[in-house]
Amino acid sequence: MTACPDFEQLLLERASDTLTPEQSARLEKHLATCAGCASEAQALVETVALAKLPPLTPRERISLQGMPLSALAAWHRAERRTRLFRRVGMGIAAAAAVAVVSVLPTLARKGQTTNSAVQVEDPTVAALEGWGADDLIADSLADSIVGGDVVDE
Amino acid sequence: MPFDAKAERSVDPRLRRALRLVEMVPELKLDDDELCRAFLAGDESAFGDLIRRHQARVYTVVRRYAPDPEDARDLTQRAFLRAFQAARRALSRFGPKHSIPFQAWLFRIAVNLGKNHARQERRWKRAPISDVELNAPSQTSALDALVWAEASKLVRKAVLNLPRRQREVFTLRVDAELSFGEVGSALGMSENSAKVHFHYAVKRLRLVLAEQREKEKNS
Repeated sequence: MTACPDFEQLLLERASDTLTPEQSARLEKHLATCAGCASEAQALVETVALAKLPPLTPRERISLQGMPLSALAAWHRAERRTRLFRRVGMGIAAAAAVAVVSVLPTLARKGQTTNSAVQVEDPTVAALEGWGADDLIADSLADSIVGGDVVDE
Repeated sequence: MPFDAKAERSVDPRLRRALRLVEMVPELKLDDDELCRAFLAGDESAFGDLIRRHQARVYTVVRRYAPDPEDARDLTQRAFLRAFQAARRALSRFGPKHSIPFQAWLFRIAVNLGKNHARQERRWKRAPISDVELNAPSQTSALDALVWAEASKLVRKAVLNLPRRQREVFTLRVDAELSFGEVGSALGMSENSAKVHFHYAVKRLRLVLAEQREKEKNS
């Protein structure tokens, strides 16, 4: 025995207890005359009833009574923890900033030293080049002198 | 303070009438949004009011997933705290005029916490459904009560095995007794979608029950 397709939706809404008074009146009138729908209606209501959880026990009710206070305490604990983490984070950030500030001049000095080394190196290279050039001139002079000597000889 | 008739008579009659009028006005019932804002502004009594308003229904929803009363209580408390944190974040991010659908957030959080808890329970191979007290109707024989208890156990297990959306809708409708409009707003769907999911869920549960009864008949 199956339910009438036209009433299937209403039967489900009856099981979910969401029928309007008008819908309910129309459906109950139909259920009085249709065995298939009546059987389906009963089965659906039974299914929802079987799925329901039992009412809260007295112990659970008492336990819930204390929840506003315990939840508030938990909220404050969480707030304190967040503030602490924030402070620790800010402390770490401040320490990092101090470290950077204290290290920066040293780094800057090191940088300057490196630059001056490079600057010192430049004249040395120039001097070396000059020295080399001097040598070349001296060599050519020597050659010419020797050559001259040879010529003279 | 003891009643002093003389002092009472000395009060301006107009003020007395005004005070009487104030006493006649019923206590103003603030909605969730107002209570939540009041708490975040520092009114701790609003926190308690909001919790008392919803705690039994939230507890019932999470109890579906966490049959141990201690676990269910812990999850309920966490759901409230997270909902308040979400409200505070929303207000700081979007400004004080942003609306706070506190109930919708609360139940969505509760369902998610419950689902995660059930997943962890399953991972640890604990059978959550067996611990719940059975809900046999009164005035039944012992045999009927036993049959009812077995069927109830089966259907409750089937509820946890429903597809996600169907399970969430079914739980919020049956356990929290939210209207389909409220269920839809908690789960981010339309009222009609919530109805459709509920109907599919009931049909599926009905099928599970019918199959079981058929098996029992055959055996």
